[in-house]
Amino acid sequence: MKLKTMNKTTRSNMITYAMVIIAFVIVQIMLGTGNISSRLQGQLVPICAYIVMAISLNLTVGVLGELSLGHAGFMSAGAFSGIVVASCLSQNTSNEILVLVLSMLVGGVVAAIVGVIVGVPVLRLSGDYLAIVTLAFGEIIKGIVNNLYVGLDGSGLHISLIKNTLQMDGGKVLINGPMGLTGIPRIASFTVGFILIMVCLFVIFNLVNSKSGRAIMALRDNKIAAQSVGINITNYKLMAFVISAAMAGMAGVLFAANFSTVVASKFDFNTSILILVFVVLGGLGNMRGSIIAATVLTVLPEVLRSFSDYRMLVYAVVLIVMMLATNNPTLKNGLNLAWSKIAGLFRKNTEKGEQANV
Amino acid sequence: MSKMIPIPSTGYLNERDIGKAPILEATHLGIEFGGLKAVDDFNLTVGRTEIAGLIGPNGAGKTTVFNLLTKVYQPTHGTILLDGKDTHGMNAIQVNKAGIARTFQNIRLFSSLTVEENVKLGMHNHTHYNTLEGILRMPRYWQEEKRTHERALELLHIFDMEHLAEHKAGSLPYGAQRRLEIVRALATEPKLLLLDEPAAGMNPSETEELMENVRKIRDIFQIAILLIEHDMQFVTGICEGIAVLNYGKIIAKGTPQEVINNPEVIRSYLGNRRAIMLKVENLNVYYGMIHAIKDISLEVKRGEIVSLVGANGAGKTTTLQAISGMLKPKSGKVSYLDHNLLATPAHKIVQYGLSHVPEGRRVFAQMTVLENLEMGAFISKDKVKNKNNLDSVFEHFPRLEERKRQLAGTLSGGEQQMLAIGRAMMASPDMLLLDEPSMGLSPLLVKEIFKIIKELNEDGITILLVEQNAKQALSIAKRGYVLETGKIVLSGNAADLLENDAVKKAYLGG
Repeated sequence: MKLKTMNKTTRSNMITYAMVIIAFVIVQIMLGTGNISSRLQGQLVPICAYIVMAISLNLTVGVLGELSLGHAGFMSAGAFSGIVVASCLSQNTSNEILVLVLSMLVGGVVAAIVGVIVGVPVLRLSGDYLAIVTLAFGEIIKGIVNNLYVGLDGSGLHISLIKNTLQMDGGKVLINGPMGLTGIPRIASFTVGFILIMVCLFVIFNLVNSKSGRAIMALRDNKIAAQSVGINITNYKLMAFVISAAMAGMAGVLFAANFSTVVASKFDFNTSILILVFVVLGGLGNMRGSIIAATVLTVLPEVLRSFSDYRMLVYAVVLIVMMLATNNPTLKNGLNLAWSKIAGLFRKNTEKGEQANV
Repeated sequence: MSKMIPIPSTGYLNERDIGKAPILEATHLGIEFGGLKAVDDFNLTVGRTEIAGLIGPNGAGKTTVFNLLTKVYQPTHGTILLDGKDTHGMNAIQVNKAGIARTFQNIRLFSSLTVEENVKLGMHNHTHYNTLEGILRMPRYWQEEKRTHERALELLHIFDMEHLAEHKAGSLPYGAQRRLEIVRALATEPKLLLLDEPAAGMNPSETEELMENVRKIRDIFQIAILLIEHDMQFVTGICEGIAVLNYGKIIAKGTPQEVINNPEVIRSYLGNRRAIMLKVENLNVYYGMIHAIKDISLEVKRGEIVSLVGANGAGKTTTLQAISGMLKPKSGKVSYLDHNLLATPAHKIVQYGLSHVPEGRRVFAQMTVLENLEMGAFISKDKVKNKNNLDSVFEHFPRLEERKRQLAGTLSGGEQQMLAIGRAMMASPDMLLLDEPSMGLSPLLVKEIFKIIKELNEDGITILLVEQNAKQALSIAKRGYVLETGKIVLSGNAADLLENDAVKKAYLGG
C-alpha cells in the first residue's frame, strides 16, 4: 500500500509501528556490537513495560476520557499472579519464552478480572470521583499484596493472608508479604517486550478504528448523544477499562520478571502518576507520544545518574520544559511550518521526478 | 384513539396514513420535578408519515416532552406507544433501537470525531461485527466498514455534505453541525425523528433549504417527523399538524391554519404580530442649549428587530435613554403598549417588560457573574421563573455558566456584553433596548453577539437595536431608521436600507 493513498489515521499508525520497529532494530544492533552500557541494558525491559503501561493508560485517559489514578494497581495484580504462575511453570519446563508468554497471559487475565470487579462499580462515576476511587483501588491492591503469603511445595500452592501460616512442607515461598516476590525466574527479554508493545499497539489501533472504538470515543465526546444513537455506555466504558487493565497486567509480568525480587510498594501511587505523566506529556490519545515520553523519561534518570545529587532536579526541569514546549502554540506553529516546508520541498522534488519520468 | 388532526380536511395526509396505525401515541403523559408539573396530561398522536410540530413559549415544556419520549427522563404518568408497543420501562438506548431518534437544541455532536465517524456512530446498532472481529480485522470488518462508509456518504448526500466527511465535526459551521445531527439521527434508522429547533440560528435561505430537506427526508425514508421550532414560517410551512404547549399543557391542536387563528394561541404565544409595542412621537431632547434630538418619531411592532443606525453623536443613545426614562425629553410622547413611559419612573418601566442594556455594558464589576444575573431578577419574586430565566440565559451564553463564580470586572469585553444582555433577560422582558452591543468587540465576537440577538428575537423578544455597525445591525433587522445629527433621515425595510446608496456611502463604506 502506498503511503499517499492511505487515510490520515492509517498513515499515522504505520509511522508509529515503523518507529517502534526501527528503534528495536537499532537497539538490537547496538546490543550485538556491544555499544550499549550495561546500565542502559538493564533498563530495556522496564522501558518496554512502561511503554505498554503508558499506551494502555492512554486508552483509558485519552480515548475513553476518564482519569484513572490506579493504573499501577493492575500492573501489580498482573505481576504477582503472573510471576507465581511463572515460578510454578519454570519447575517443570525450561522453555523460558513459553513460560513468560503463559505467565503474561495469566497476568493479563487476572488483571482483566480485577478490572471488571473494579470497573463495574467505578464506571458508574465519572470525572474527579472516578479518579479518586481508582486511586483508592490502587492502594487497596497494594495493601492486599503486602499481606499476601504464597508458597509452593510438593503438594501445590499455599495461600494465606497471615504471616507464618503457610503450613508448607519444604518447597519455597513465592510471595512473602511485605518482602514481596522473591526468587523470581528472570525470564524477561527485550524481544518479548518489543512483541508485547507491537501486540498492544495493534489491538489499540484496530480497536480505535472500529465500531467499538468509535463508540468509546463517542461517549468521551458526548454521553447523552451517544445514548441517543443507541450506544450502551456502560458496556463500552467497561470494555476500554478492562482491555487497558489486561495490558497493564501483562506489562506487570514483564516488568517483574526482569528482577529477582519485587515488592508491592513498587506499584504504588507514584508509579500510577509517573505513567500518567507519560500519557499527558505524550498527548492524550496520542500513542506515539506516549511511547516517546515513556522512553525518554525512563532513560533520563539513568543518563543523569552521573549528576548524582542534581539528578532529580534536572529531571524535574526537563519535565517542565518539555511540558511548556509541547504546549506552546508559537513553538508548535513554528514546528508545523518547518515541517510543512520540508514536506513541501520533498513533494516538489517527487513531482519533478514524476514529471521527468513522463 | 384520536388522530392529531380530527377532521379529514384536504385529504392528502389522511389518505396517506389512512388505515395505518399511528407511529406514536402518547396518552396522559406527565412528569413532575419536585412537585412542579413540567408536563401534564400530554396527549399526542403522530401518523406514520406525518410531519408534526410542537410549539409554545419558552419554558412551556417542549424539550421536556422530547426528553420523555426518548426516555432521557422517565415519565411519572401516562403511556407512550411507539408503533403500537408500550415503551414503559425502556431506557434511552432501547427507545432508540425501537425507532425514535432525535437531535438536540444545543447541538450535541461527537465533536472530536470526523463527520463520517459521527454518521457511522449513528449506524452503530446496524453495523454487524463484534469487537474481536474489529481488532483482528476479519473479513466481516472490511465488508461492514465498506458498507457503512458508503451508506454514510449516501446519507450525507441528502444535505450535500459528502465533501465534509473527513472534517472534524466540531470544526463545522453552525448550520452544518445542525444538519449533521439530523443525518446522524437518520443513520439510526428511526421510524420517528424528533428535531429540536432545527432552524435555530439559521438564516432565511438556510431555513428555506432545511424545509425542503425535511420534506425530502420524510418522502425518501417514509418516516414521521415531530419538530420543535419557534420560526413560525418554518412550522406553518412544513407541518401538517401542530400542537401548542403552554405551562406543560396542550392548549391547542390542529392544522397550521387552525392553530395560528386560535385565540388562546395568539394570546399566550404568537401575540398580535401586528400590534405596535413601542411608539415614539415627536420626541425632542435638549442638553442645555443643544437640541440633541429633533422631533423624532418611530415605532416598533411585536416580534420585530428594529435597528437605529447612525454615526457617532447622531443621538442614538440619547433616544434610547429617553425611551427608558433615564433622561427627560423636552417634549414628545413615548408609549409602550398602553403605558405612557414619560410619566413612568425608570425602575417601573422594567416591570412593564421593557429592559435597557446600556452602552458600555455597565456590569457590576465587584459582583460575581451569578450575582449580576440575580440583580437582573431583582423585581421578580417568582423563584421558579427566575430559575427558568437563569437556565435560559446560560443556554444562550454557555460561557457565563462556566464563569458564574468569577467577578464580573474580570470578564473580557465580549463576556461583559453577554452578561449585560443576560442580566436584562433575567427580568423576562418582552422587549429589549440594546445600545451598541458590538462596541469594542472582535469581529468574531460581534458575529456571535448578533447571532444571539437573533436567537433572542426568535424566542419572541422584540428588539430595538442601536448600532454603529450599520451593516450587521441592518442585516438581522426587519426594519431600520437612519439617524443623522438628531434627525431621522431615512427609514424603511432593513433590506432596502442596506441597498440604499446614501446609506451605503455614509455608513457601509461605499
